[in-house]
Amino acid sequence: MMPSSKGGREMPNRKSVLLLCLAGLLLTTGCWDRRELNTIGIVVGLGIDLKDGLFDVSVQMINPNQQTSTSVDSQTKVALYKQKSSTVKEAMRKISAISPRINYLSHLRIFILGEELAKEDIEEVLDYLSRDHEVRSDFYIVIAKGLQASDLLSILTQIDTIPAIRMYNMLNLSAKMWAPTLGIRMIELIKEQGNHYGKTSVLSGIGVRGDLEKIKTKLSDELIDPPGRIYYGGIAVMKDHKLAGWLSDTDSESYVYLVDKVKYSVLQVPCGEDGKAVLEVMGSRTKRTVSLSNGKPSIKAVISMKADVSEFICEKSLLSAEMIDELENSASDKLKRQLEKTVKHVQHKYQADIFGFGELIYRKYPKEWKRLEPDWEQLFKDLPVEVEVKVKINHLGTVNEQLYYEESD
Amino acid sequence: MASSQEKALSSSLKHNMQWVSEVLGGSEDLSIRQFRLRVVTSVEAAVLFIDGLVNTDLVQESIISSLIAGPSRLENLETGVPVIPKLIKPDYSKLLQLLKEDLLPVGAVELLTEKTIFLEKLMSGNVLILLDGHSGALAAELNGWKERTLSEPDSETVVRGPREGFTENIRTNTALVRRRIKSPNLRILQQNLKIKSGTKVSIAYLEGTALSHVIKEVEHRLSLIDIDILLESNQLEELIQEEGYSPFPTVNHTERPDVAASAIQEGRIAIFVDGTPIVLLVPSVFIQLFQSAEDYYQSWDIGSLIRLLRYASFFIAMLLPSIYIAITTFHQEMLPTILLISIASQREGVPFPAFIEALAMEITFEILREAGIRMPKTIGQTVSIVGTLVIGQAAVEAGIVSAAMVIVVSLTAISSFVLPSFNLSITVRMLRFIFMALAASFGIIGIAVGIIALCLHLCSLKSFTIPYMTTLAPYERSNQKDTLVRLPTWMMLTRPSLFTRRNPIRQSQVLKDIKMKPPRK
Repeated sequence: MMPSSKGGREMPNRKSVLLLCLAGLLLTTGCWDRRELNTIGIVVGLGIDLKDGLFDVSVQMINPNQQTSTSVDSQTKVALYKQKSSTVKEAMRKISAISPRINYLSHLRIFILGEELAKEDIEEVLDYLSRDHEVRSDFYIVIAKGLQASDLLSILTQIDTIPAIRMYNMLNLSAKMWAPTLGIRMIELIKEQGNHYGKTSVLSGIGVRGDLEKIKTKLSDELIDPPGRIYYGGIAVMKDHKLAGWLSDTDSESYVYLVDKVKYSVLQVPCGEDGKAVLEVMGSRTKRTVSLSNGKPSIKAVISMKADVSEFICEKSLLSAEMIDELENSASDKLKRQLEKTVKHVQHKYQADIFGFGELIYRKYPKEWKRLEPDWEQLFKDLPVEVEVKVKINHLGTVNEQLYYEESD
Repeated sequence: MASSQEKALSSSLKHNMQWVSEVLGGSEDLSIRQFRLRVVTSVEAAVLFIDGLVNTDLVQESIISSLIAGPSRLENLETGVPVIPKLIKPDYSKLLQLLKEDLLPVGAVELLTEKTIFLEKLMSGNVLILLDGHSGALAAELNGWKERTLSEPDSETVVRGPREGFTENIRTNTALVRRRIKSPNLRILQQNLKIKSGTKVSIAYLEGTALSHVIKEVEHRLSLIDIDILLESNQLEELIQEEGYSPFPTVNHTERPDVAASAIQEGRIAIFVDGTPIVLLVPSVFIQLFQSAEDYYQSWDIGSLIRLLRYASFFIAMLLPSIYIAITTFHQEMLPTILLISIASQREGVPFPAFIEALAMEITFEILREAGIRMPKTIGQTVSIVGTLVIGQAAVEAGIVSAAMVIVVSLTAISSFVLPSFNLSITVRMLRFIFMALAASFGIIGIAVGIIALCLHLCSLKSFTIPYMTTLAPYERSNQKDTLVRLPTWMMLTRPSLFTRRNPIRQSQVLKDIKMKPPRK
């Protein structure tokens, strides 16, 4: 309706007064949590070492001046700030005394624990990182194998020139393509900390091959083949918030198969007497079941895998159903033996349920679990674990027989 | 008695002539031709018209030759006896009837006695004939002035579709609509408004389809108008809208006869104002601001996709700068790391907070746009070059604004041009600044609150008794075929029931049955 003459005159007054009040409120907010982009220091890598009983925190901060294609100064792309203190938070705050910008942790990509710290206790560090409101939980946690976290964060890298982002991408890729590497993100670790069914966590290891001191210089990233490189390898077994030990590459691979984290990988299979075949794993699924007999639990893990033939160096013909069957069987046997060996090794050396078998039992037999829980560590040591591997070969690649194959008849 | 005498024309030609020249104060465009009418008898007479408003050729043909030159040689029409001027008292009513019915070869001739009507007719391009001894005047409609020819409307161009646009002449405009709807039910009614400049206003609707209470409402609101001059339909638009302060247009307008015809066919009412090519369409709802004539002139699939693009552009044009401000000053964690690093490196060395930076750029852009419109066309090119250089390059190179901000502002500007309704893009331009202030003080939460307030406001609007958000809120399933997307023409069996549910059938079902039939095996 058309505003009546009287109402029409009063309405704008009331409205404009209200608007004026609201506009006034805008001024009073003060924008307390406003942070302009050029006042924050974007932290992409965080490392914590233990030095003289103190936390030695090092942060790798982006140098925004050096990120555009036009920047020509010889500044580095990132800067490293280190402070020591008896608590993590204090050390983080003390960084403001040496850094021009406030630490901004939301974009943390990788968090490196020094090996010494990991051997001592990681509880405080994890509590701080999971409690801080700014920190997201999607970054990777790794343990520096045989060196300081701060050393790893001061290495210059190629291709991905921001070192922390390079480490993140490396782990992302390797965890997907190569079974022995496993990427553990903060969120997964937090979940495991809250798991009360006997599971202990694992973390992946990061190390340096080559000359550490040399690759910390600017020159090293100008070489095609620098004197040293960062690599991921080995899985760290954690027990009671402490590093209990490292799994070898083979054991790591088995572990990743057993917890169903393999996406793609490679498998070597013997063929005949001295031949070999290499299979590319195109997908693997692990199904684990628990059964209880006479109050004693036992585990069965069935791994079904699809694979393609990548290499075939053997005197036999590949183009026969028997040969395919033979390859499938020997692959299954080999993997089965390897997996069983790893389980035995972990059971006896660490007595740490890194596989999460306890949780499996709890899920299926929650009442039984209450009885088993008090001496789970001992039970785990002697837990019978049966492994079954089913390999299915789908494709033989773009050639049929091997190139130098001669038919015997 | 005296007042009625003042209102009515005098019976003395001399008095009348005196009165006219007094009222018009000797305006030079008034043409007077006094002569002696020699039909039946001899009477002093005068022809008056405004030069420039009448078709001089026709005046010569129909008035001068038939009254002044012609009749003296004519026979007496009744008796066949040649006319001999005699000084007898003429029978005026017979004489006038004779003039009106037989002697003036003009479409519309009217007898009038009141002075106000006399002036009104004179000003709207009639030729007036006064006779001495009679207090009436004959008005012959012979108007004809220079006007623009039909041309393609600049504001609503189409790639495919009719090229005709409305002109400044109300009669031409109503004819353009009439040509598209050859139905006897099309009513074109002139409205008698209290407008001192005498501007003509007409409404057009389809009898039996348009809702009678909406027609009444339109007529009622028009009758409330009492204004000195009406030059453009926007004045009328503001006067008849129910919401005095809303930035959203609750009256549509168009320059295209096909759009007006389609609106009338759907049961809406078109309001024509003389002197402007912009025709108002009421009632109007929000979703129509996103519809363009071309949606229906090209195939339905691309029409639908482009319509979705417009909805996206609406949000980009309104919200992009505010989202940029909110994310870069409050919620840096929302961006992917690499993108954040890239934006941070661009912001490096920029001395202003993001809000000030955005505000400065947006205002610069608005200045450039306004300059581009007001400048003479030949200089327009210069403005755009200067604008591009100043904003695009120099500001970034000098480190005063970041390159990302230039991208945001340009994208916003281009998106606002995608909207087919110019009204809506003005609304969006204004709201953008409010959202930017909200984003700078409260971040995403501010934007969210702003959007909620906007939705509440939109839902509270009404256009001539129809809720503004009709088809979305209240949700109407039957109208979804032409809301977010446009379905093929053969699927639209009924007319949109937005404005009326009378006479709903658009086409028969035959074609749909043929197309939907499963293929033969």
